[in-house]
Amino acid sequence: MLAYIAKRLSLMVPLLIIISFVVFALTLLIPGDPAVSLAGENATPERIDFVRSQLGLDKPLVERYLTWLWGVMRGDLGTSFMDGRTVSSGLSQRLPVSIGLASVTLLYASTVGVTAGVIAGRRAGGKTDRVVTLMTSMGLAIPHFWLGMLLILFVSLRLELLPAVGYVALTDNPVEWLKHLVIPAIALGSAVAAEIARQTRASVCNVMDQEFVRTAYAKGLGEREIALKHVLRPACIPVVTVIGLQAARLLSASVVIEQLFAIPGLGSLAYQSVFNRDFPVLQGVVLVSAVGVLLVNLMVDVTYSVIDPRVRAE
Amino acid sequence: MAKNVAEEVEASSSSSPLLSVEGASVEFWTGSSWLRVVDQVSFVVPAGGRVGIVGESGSGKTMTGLAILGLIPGPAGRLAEGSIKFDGHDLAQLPPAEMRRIRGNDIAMVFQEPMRSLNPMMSIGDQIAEGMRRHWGWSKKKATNRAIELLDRVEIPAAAQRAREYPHHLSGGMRQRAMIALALACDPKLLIADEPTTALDVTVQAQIIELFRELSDERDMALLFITHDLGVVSELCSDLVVMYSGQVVETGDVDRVFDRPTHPYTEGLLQSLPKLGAGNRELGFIPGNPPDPAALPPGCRFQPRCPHALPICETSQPELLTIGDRQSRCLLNSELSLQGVGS
Amino acid sequence: MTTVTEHDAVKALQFEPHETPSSNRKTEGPYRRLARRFRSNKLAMTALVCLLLIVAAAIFAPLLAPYPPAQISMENRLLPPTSGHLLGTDELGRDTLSRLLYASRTSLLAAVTAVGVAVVIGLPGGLAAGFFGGWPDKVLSRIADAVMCFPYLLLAMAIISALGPGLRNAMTAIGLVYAPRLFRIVRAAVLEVRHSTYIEAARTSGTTSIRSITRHILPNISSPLIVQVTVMLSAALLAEASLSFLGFGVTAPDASWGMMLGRGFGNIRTAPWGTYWPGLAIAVTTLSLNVIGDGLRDSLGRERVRPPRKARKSGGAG
Repeated sequence: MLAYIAKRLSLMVPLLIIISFVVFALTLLIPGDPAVSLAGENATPERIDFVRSQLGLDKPLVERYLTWLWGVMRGDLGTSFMDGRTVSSGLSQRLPVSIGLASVTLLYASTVGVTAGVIAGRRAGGKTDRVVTLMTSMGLAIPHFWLGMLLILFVSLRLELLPAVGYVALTDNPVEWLKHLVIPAIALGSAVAAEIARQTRASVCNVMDQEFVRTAYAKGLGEREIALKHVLRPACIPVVTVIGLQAARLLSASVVIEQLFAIPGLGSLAYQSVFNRDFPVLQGVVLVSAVGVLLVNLMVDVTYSVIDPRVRAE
Repeated sequence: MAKNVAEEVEASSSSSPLLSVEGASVEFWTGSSWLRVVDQVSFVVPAGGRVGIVGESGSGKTMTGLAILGLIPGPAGRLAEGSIKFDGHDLAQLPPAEMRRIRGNDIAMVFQEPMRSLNPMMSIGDQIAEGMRRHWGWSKKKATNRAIELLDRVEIPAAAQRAREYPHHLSGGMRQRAMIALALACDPKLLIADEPTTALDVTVQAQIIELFRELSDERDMALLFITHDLGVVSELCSDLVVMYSGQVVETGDVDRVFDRPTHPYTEGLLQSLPKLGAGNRELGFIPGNPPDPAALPPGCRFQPRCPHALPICETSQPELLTIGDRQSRCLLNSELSLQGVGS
Repeated sequence: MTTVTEHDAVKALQFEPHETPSSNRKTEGPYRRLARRFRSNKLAMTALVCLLLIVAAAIFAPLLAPYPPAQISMENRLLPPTSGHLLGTDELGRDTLSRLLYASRTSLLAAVTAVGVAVVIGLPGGLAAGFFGGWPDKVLSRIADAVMCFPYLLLAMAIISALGPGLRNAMTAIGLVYAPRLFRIVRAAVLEVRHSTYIEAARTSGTTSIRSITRHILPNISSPLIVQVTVMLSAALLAEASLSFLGFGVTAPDASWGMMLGRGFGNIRTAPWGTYWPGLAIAVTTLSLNVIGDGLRDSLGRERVRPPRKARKSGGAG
């Protein structure tokens, strides 16, 4: 098992390198000369040159990249243009918030999605299947922020069941933390649930067509036993893939949701950094999220090896 | 109405057969109508006997085997008519719970592709033990021990080790042996084997067939062997059922049928068997293909490929006639003198 | 990185023989079969009609809109739906219905642009990687994998902040970000096709690679491609909406559905209807596209037939 993880980690390395290139390259796309804007208006050419050499912008590209990379590996992601704090401190403050939101969202989405998918898959082609498929289509079509707005309108403003916007830290008050996250999680998670339900259904159908399921029937096993012992485990594999993919995509969707619900996570940090052209912060967020996606993929791979013995042999 | 063998046998012998299929038909829903792929099939398997069902692919032989165990892929497929009498019950009318009791327990089945028929994520031992735990209520330990014994019996070396392994660790031949062990788990009275040797090497085939023979003898277990290979049937079975295009076209004792077949299709199959020591004689084969079940010829289904066909064969559908202890579905039955192979 | 989903997706999309014994359907060509099965799917056909209506509304917006979309009227601010203004007005007194119609052009065009960019990059890339294999494949695949690691919206936002504001830049960014996914699907489809025997036969008969691609591969990958394009259109529509909502997409005075939604949210307490219509428009269009995509996928996959209730025989067997 450890060997498998180590192998997967080593495969990540080339990806990490390319990711770091891409992130670094993004800053090069920025029009204008940061030295000029930092030096301020009415700066003399000497002043600009001075600022430039201070920032290390006069060094060759490769050297700049390596310096930056070295800094990153030591945890130094630069300083925010806006508030002067280090990027890493800003990130570490926001990361737990986003992880909390993502966890609640995934929990909701997986539970609802897998259940619906299994129910639909076992009775493929029938009425239940059609209903579930239609509902998943709708779930995928409704924009998550629109859903969020409607929920705010009806659940918070009209019915006053849950708070509309805002965030309370888990450590301060767990109940309030959850209450503030319910609507955002439903808004974020419904499309995810729909996607998971789809994949689960397809997967269950697929597995039920396999010959070894027929063998299980030939042994005289009951429906429930077959579903749990023979169908569920192989069916999990594509579902795990989807959950992983969706988890990776959550950060994108959460940019809008966090803005909408005033949740101080990575998503809203990303938005603000783009809005304020605060490139070190943007760089940091993009880097962290890409690494996060790689880690999620790693977890997915490890889960495969746990579920499917054939994978362990690789 | 064709007289079926079951009635004959019942009349003549004191003990009734273990399995008696009468007029069984299997149909599939095409999206607009029901398409019949097995048409009024009748045959008998005596207790402890070995019967071979022979036919090309598309003859309906696999579906017949699945029909016995109630494993026709639904809901698009169904057993449209007929009875499947086993041990005093009509399996076709049995409620699902009763049927489950019989599957894997009294009647077991071995399938064609062992790699696909075994669960890739369960250990071999667990899969074999499942049946015993379900039908006999045994503990995991007890069932696994017996599973190891069975693996040993089917001549898998290092059985205890193998029981802990997964199907992908085993070679093709060993996987099939494992499947056989699985089928034997609850000492079934009848073992249905659907082309168990087709996906294997020739040398391994011979070993597996020998294994079937031994198992059938020592356990007094009846065997229904479904195959397209007449050679295998001649080695293993005592009785033969030949199927073509969903119908039974000939039945009888293997040696007698080989010696003198009564249906041109059987004759064709026998002629296409490779014969040792025949020198450079060409391998005979039957030209053409079986008819599309949705576009059957008006008369005899074999007529388009039959070298002995007469005009009447194009218009009349032959019934399955009983002559002594054999059956044959050919209009020209009494006139033809067909060539067999000495066994 | 595993490609389980792509492989499954492509496998499901390949033309497969019937699992039930067939009648004379064997003589049907694959495209006619697709058309027949799609036509018989009532839901998908309804969605297609719906989509065509929306597209028509977009094209004929100047004829259908009761007011000029940019006409400001400060005394008519934030009106609820009335006879004069069927869907109400926004915070500058502009008629919502008219704006919605004109916005449909922007949004739909934006989605098409984004998918166009993705296809222009992803299709040749996928073809090359799948067909030539070896180093081009390895390099392109790694790049695609790496780009797919980034959350798509963030990457798009980063590209936009570098390129500058405006809808065209925004949709180009989205297209760039979607391209790797299309690349993967095309590559997987090409690999599937490449291994079938008739390609081998063509090779041995000496046809050149370009010929192989156009004659054999392209027709066979067109089916997964069509489905994927449909799916991407709906995703691009949502992406544009998200970006415009955040303020990175369209700029005033143009409108898109996403931007209208954003403005509407600002006034949600006093004029909630401002959030209904643009959201509904997005949802209905996306739903139509999704259902069409589903219909296409179903029409290409295995035909799963269920007999009518009364025809099914009851009993223990089966």
